[in-house]
Amino acid sequence: MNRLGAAILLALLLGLAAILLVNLDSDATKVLGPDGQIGAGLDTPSGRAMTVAVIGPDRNARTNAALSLVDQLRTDPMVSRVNDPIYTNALMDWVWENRLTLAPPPAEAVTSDAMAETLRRAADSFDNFAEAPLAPRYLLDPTGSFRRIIKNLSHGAPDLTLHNGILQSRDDSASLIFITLAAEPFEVARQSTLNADIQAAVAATGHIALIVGPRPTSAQISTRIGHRATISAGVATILLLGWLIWLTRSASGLLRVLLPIAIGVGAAALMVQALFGAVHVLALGFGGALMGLAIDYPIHLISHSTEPQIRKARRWILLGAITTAIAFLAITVAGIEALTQIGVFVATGLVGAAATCLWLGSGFAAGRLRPAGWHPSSILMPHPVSTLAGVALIAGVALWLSPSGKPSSMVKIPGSVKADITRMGQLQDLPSGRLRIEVTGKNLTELLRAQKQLQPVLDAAQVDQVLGRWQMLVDLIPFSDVAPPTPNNVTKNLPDALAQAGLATTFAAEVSEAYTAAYTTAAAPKPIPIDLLEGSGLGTLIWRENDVLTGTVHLWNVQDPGTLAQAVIGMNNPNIRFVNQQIRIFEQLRKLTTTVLQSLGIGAVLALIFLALFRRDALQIAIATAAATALTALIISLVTGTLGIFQIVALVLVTGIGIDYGLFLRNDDDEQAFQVAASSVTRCAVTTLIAFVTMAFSGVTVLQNIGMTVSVGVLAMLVAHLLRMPRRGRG
Amino acid sequence: MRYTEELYHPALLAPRTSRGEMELASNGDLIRRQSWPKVEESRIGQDFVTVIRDGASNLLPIPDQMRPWIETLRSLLTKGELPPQAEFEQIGDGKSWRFVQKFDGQQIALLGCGSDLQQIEFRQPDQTRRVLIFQAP
Repeated sequence: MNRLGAAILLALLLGLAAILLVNLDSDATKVLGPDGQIGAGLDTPSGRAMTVAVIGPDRNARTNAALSLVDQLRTDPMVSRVNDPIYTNALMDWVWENRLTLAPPPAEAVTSDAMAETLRRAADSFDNFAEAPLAPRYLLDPTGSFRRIIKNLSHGAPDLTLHNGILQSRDDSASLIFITLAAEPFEVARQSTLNADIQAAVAATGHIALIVGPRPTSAQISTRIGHRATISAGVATILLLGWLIWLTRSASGLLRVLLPIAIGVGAAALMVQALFGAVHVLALGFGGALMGLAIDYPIHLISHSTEPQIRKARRWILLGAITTAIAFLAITVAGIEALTQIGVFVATGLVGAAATCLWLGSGFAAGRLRPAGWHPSSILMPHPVSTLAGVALIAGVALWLSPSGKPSSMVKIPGSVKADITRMGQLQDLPSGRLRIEVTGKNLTELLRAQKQLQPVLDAAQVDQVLGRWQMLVDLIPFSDVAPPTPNNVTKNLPDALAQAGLATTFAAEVSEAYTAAYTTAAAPKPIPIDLLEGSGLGTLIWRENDVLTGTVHLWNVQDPGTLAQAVIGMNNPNIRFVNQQIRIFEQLRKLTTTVLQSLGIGAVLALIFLALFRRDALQIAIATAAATALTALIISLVTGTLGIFQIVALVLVTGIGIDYGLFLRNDDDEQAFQVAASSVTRCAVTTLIAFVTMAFSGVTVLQNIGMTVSVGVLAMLVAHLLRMPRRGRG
Repeated sequence: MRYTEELYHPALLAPRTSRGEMELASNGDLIRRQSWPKVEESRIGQDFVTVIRDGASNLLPIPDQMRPWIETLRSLLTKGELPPQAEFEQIGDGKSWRFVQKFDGQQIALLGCGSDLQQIEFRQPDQTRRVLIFQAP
């Protein structure tokens, strides 16, 4: 078997092993670090909430359609709950146990007269169909805490009408179904299937389904990105293959260009799988970026035709791959797993591709490819290196001084998805998804106490028309910050109270026992079970992470977020904070960008030191590369308003490409060697541009960012390194 | 169908009594019209109850502990038979009969004579006992 055959076999084996062994991972927390809450939000109760609006003019018809869908969803393994009662029986049990914490009775509630009145009303509840199931508990609660909580919770239920057990939208145009998805990791494919099933089931009844929720919306956006990316990749592949076929003019030549990339990507995927137990989709996505670099190696090799030229080309390919690998490996110091994986993936892939390329050789006879033969530097630039250093300096200073805009979003939400969310908000009067106040506490009393302190601040904001309205847990329960009366104080008056109410005094022992149990619970509260909160109507108002309880304050019609934020800050309570989700995401992205930039700076220094060991003109290569990188960054920053995380990582790729160009274009080469090198670099640039210009027009923000940055960067690198060349005589 | 309901609980010295009528709406809702001691209408759907009392309407989920009771009533009124999933045990023989079903600390007993259902008794774990006595039209 010749080397080409062996390489084909190796590529097939690696591909097979990757298919069998590689587990794909899309955990967003691995991108944003442990503090990231963007992706982690999909695993909270709110993240698993999902609402379906069945839209249609006839209330009966759409309600029947909604009822059928509810039946269908109840058997779906992805669904945990559908249209559950707002306040579940489990929640009622918890409220019963914790009634003295949630609504401690005042001292005057334990007099004989007061308790007699409470017990009389409790007995009367038996005559009320709605209250009768609760009456036995009312009778065991002579201070009336439980009854007061239930009354408040009833008033806090959503203000929507009900038809045949299905809540109707405010404008009576839709039937609403509230779903809690099962507590499983978010998977785009499964969620997309569920979305499609719902759409199909509702469409079959002649109605329209509107599906909104963090998971269905994320799946919708991801699917859209996937479709566009597939189209973009398809177009790029066709154009690239056409270009490479024209360039190599033979099947074996084409294989020699493609096999190193295939082997590099396969080896990289397996290496990341072995080290991390899974391959993050971002790391795999950078396999495409890896192509941009690795495809240059065989093109360099086949562009050099004489034996000495090929020997040098082999050396520069290896040196370029190792230098770029060092720069990419430095990204691992950021401590963010997805970026670490990208570093390992690209480094392994580049070295693997370069090694394969060198092992395979060009396979071409000498003089197979003609040099491009153009040389602009002798006309344009009398002092190229100092001029390029000036460009790098000016562009760098301009970047430093330019106002820092909002970090660009990782994903742009399509207009149709935004319209769906707005429509759903109109249907059921949703609170702001961007603004909220979070109140934390080590226990329920601490949390409710802090929310109680917040109430006057929110009242004042409402009076000043800063805020429309709000809802928080303490608004739903009659909490007061007083210690409940002791069991003795209650027990001593019980027989008299029962007698006054016309009830059996023999029941006093049971009442006393129930009160003592509630008093003990209030004195030593247990952590709130997470399952209980998730399944209840309180799930969006209070949640627990480890030992900290967080109560969300939902806000409606916030007219002046700045003033409201200042009012909350003015409380000087570390347990209360105003949250602007958009700013929080921007801050996380900014932090991430800074971390990545710092690690890349370290990588650049290490790469330069390594390069200096093998090339005397390392500094000149670095200056030209830095000039082109800074210029690209400035152009992209001016065009898009800021540098996002993907643009920065794309700049690293551009830098790697630039170092490669610099390695091939040497100052002390003669005219013929220079022309061969310039031709080789130009071919590589065209190849890279074909792939990345297509990406720039994909219509997907992430791909556009990478595509535009690499395209501008490659052009800047080509010009910078050609201009770096000194004037030389034309022989 | 007219009824009298007696409710027993250890705290009560005497059972609380209520009266009214029951009927089945065309959409399957069970309608309970209480006329005494206080006028109240309850429309019992599959998952929710609408209670109209003192001119105000209140929507509530059906408590789990009430479901067997309501399902039995609905099935009897709709089809004149017991719910298909229920496994009632016949006690006694002859003209009078008594079917009993026990589950999760609860018990539903149906008492009849010949082809007439006369009473339904529902015992709950919270020590409450309801007896629904149907009256001849």
